[in-house]
Amino acid sequence: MEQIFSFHQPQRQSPKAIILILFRYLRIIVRQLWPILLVVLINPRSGRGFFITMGIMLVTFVSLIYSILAYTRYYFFIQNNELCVRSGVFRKTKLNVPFDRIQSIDFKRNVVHQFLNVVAVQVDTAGSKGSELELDAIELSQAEALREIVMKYKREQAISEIAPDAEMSESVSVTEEPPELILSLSAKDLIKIGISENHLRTAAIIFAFFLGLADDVDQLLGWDVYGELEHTTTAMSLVGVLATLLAIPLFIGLSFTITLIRTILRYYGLKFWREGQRFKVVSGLLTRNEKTISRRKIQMIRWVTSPLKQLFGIFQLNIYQAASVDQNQDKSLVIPGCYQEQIDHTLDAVVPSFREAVFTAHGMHPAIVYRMVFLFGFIPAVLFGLMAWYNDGFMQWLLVLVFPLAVWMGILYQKKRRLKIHPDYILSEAGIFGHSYKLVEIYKIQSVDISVSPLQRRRDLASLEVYTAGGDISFPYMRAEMARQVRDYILYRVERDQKSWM
Amino acid sequence: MTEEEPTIFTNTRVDITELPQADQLEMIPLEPAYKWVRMLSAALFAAAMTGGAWLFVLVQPELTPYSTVVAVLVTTLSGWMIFYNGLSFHFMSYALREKDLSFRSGWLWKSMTTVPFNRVQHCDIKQGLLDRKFGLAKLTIYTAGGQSSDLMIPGLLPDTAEKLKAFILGTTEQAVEQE
Repeated sequence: MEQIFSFHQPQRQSPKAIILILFRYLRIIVRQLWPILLVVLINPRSGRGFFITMGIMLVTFVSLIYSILAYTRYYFFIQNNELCVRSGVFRKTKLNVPFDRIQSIDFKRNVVHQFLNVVAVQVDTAGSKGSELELDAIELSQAEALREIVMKYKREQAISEIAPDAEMSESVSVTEEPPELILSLSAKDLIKIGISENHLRTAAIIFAFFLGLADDVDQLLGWDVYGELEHTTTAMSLVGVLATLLAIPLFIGLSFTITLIRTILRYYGLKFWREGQRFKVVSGLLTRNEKTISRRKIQMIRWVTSPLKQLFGIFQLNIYQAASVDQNQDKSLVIPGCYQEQIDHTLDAVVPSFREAVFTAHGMHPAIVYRMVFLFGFIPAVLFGLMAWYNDGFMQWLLVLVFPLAVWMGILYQKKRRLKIHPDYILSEAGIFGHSYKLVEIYKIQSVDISVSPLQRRRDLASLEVYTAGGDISFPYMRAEMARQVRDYILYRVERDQKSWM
Repeated sequence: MTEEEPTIFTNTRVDITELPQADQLEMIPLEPAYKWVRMLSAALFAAAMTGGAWLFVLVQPELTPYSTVVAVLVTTLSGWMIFYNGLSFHFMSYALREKDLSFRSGWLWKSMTTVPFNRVQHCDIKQGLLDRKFGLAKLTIYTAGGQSSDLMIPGLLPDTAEKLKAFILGTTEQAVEQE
């Protein structure tokens, strides 16, 4: 099965791509029109069925024609060490991405891909907007050949760049060392992760979803969902109370189930590899995602644990690489659950001397508590107060709770917040109930900002903000003098360092 | 470094107090004409908002007590906005060093951003409609750190902007060559 692909001739994707393009268009259409479709399906008034069927068929037919056109007009090829794409049905687009700009080439397979035995290829570039490139479907062998051409070019470039440095070129040539499996998530691990995910967030999403649904239903069918709800809740009869009591565990159960399903869908069979200088994560049940980051490209590492996660002794680990702003989330490696051991292992591989490093810790001024109380006490109090004023319910009781809670959270936050500095690294520690750590190598910093609010000026405090290509570290309420010294040191290191930040 | 004084860290050969300090810079103010650009553009926006608000009062007379209050509020805010835009001009300045560029701004909420030249991705010079009328230009420096870390210096003479850009890019090229 050894095939040689040259890619020098403009070529089309696999014909199977038509199906995938079609699916993509249909998905977009369905996403835009689903409230209408919903109404049509649950409310099929007699006599209209024919037109609806015709409409759906027409839309599908037009999409199919469009997909075929899109497929036939889409060519990709390699020219002068650039990956080129010519596409567009009505408006022609030319896109040339130089190999030097390519950050990573990732493969993605959803159910349809798996069924058709093809992969989608995502080519990511750093910073430059609008030059991200995606192939809908090509054969796996072809995709691997394409990636190998680019990677080979990059390896050669890397060697020729640092050829005089014997030690480095050696480490480059060893890239082919056997992959080492750092972590493989078992079913038990997945359940632990599912249990310890943030259920409040899921609950909020479900809540928002239902509100949106209620809105759509109201507009389309004229059922006043809010009115009904208000009617039942304000009545506060025995039935109402019972319904509320029943609804709470149901709601918790629902959000728990959804989180668990989501976790399994996204992280099923997750494997975290180290291949020489690269880290690779493969995961997903229906859509198998494969993401690779090379060590040099890592900009920031974050590991987080919550009280629930602490019970199981697990952390969430994120490895961020240089990425254009809007796609930050996509390009980071996410390991939703791993143990201290894997964290240490990863850190040892990425920043070898980090764990032995001696840091100097800087705390946060207690005045931060005022800000926390304002954010988590005052603003919610105003909201609850307004709600309580409009419909006298149980909201005023929340008012009593909110301030002590905010003070407590503020104090916890102030106690845990630390900025740790080492000549080579900055480590930011945070957390109210859990713990979160962000690690940045100083030479990867892009720019520094110091800001002072009127409240901070009175106490001679300042906020320090450090930007990297993979995320920011901000540290408010530190001594102004210290913030300036840290800034000056960072600038000194960045300006003196000739090491490439990626 | 003495022990009792809190230092940013130990374990270094670099004396922190000896480092070049970004604060003791000679800050260069922006072109005075830029104050008028700021106030004028704020005034245009304010006029549109205020006009809209009062038009609403006229068209919907049945809402009068409330809509008038809102319109008065919008008018006051607009006036404040024009004044504030003029005022904040005086707090904007930039500083050029051999290896970095800083921009300072803010009247009550002060902020100073510094971008080292060897982290600059690219720069561009833009001239808005008002800028052109007043003979000004705006220089934006992009880093890989995302929008919030980019540096925008408005109110420059086009000539100065070009010179700054050439200097910054010249330095970045050098930095790359040395690698």
